[in-house]
Amino acid sequence: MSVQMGFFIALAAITLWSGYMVVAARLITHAAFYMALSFVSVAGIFILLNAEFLAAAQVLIYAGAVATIIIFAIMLSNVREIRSDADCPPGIIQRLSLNLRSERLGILPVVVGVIFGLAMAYVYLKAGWTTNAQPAFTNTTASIGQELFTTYAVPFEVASLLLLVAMVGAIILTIKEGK
Amino acid sequence: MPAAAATPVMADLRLVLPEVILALVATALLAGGFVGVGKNRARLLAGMALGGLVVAFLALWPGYRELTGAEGNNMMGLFSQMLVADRFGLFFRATFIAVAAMVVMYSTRYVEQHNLPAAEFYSLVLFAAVGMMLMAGSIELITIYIGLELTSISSYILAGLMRNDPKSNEAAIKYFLTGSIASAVFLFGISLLYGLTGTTNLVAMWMVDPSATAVTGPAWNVLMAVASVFILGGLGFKVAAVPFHMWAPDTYEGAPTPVTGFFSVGPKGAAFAALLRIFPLGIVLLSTRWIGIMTVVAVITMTLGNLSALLQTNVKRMLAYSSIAQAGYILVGFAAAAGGGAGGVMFYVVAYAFINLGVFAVILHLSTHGQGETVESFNGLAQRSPAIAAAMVVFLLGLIGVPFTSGFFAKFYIFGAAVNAGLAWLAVVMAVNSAVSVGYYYVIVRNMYLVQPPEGSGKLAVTPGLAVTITVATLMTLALGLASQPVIGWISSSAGM
Repeated sequence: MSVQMGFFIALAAITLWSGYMVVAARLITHAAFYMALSFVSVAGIFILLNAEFLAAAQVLIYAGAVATIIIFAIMLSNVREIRSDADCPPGIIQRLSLNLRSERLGILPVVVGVIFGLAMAYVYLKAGWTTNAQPAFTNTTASIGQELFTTYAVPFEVASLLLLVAMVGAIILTIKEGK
Repeated sequence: MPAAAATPVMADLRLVLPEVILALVATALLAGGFVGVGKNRARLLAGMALGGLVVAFLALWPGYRELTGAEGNNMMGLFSQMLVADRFGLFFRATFIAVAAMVVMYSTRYVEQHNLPAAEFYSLVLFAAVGMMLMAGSIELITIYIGLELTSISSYILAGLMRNDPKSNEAAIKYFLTGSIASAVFLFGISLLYGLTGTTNLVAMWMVDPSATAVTGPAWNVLMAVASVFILGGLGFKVAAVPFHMWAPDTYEGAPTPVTGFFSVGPKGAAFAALLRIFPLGIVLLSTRWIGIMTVVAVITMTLGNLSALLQTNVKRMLAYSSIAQAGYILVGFAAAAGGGAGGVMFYVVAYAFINLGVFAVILHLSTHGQGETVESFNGLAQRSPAIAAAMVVFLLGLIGVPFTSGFFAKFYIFGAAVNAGLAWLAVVMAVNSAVSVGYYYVIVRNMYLVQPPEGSGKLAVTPGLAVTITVATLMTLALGLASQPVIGWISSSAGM
């Protein structure tokens, strides 16, 4: 097993675990931090794929901006806990049995997740993608920039409209009335 | 049918002028929120939005000229194939501009009465229209996705504009949460298609030789099937096809009424346009399996929609289920693609748009007088507003599919396609379903004509915006029913795509 494979397995495991913890965490701030962790480990996978620009964007935008804004939003709202302490019985056995029954962490979501994962794994394995040779390490930033401003100029410009609409929505849905 | 070679930017810009104009007007409307005061401001903004839509409609002319001119271009790629100008796209873009114009017209009084933020309301309707036009005017999955998101995000906000109404909040939250998951599913499907074919351009995808790609043999089919299921799931959510319809009744009931009317024809029509682009073009190799999936979805969608509609007393909820059922009829057109179903889908979308906007205009007419929530509010409407009650009858006949209305031709077109494609039993299911739908549409007619109006209610005054909308909708319903030839001619010249 190559070093790369080892790194990939570690990063994938961290991504999956932190993804599960996002829904399983009791405190909403913890969920936000787990989400940031999963973003960072996905960035690691991008680096393994020689997509260093994507990795940087992933860290800057998702782990940096998105996670920070979510934590800000939590600070500004009154919600602290997804589940209160009262819901959490003291003993480990009781807690486990409660977890198994809960809709968020229990057996059902795990079963659904595992079935979906197995189905996709089956599809991917059966498809037998040819393992392309690793592309040489090149400066992807320049070519991404070039593509964005030439071939993909239209979707790129429309994305700015999308951001404008999102901003208008955020303002109009949260502004205090009776100014 | 590869698109023509790239042309200079200015020449391309001429053909997407409507989108550019609408985006500019929508942005200007946001600033317009600071102009004037009170009622005048709302009316000024509505006028501005309507003006922008009229200009945008006229700006379709260069594209029309180009497509019908002597050179007879079939499909012109614009901006490195990110957009295309073709008859199919022009048809839907014109429809969406008309839909947005009618929505602006019939909303004015409602916006004033319910104190909605006028600048943002009209601006978001226009932005959503731009997104819809981009979806219909592209053969590039990335542009289609961005258009879909522009439409969806504007829609989520529109659904929640009545901030003090818990139902409106519920509508927005439900639509947003389920809608963003649907978008993600759609995007995942696109990523699989890209991985398989190495392109996001539908025409290029159409020309890919499966034996020359990284994945070959039966594996290609399996992955294509998975990708198309994801894409169908994502877009199926937008058209509220069963089993992706759970959000629709709550969102339709809770959203502001003019917005509900818009949802039932606008974003839905755009998703149908995108489906028409993606499936026949991009996933041509899968068409046999796809027909099976579409058949099942169509049958359960129309049956469940109609049966649930029978049980409703809230008009908006009833129309939500009715609109699910209508989506089921349209999906029959996809299952019958081999028999010319694509043309049927195009005709159905435009016919249904005018009919349903008419129905919602009538509900808005009642709502300006503080009614319109339940089927009882239609009691004695024939005496209170005779002309509007008559128009409502035309719309309901159109929804059922009675001859001399556009609804009849729409159903007939799809019906014929199903028979041609050897799916006669599907056509029978459709006919039975139409008969079932009479049950709940008739309740409204009965209440209007056979039930006495409530004590002490006089004639109901109608606002100019609603009067114009209802007139246009009635005329279009009858015109498309009696003289559908030009429209059908245009469709059959573009259904080749």
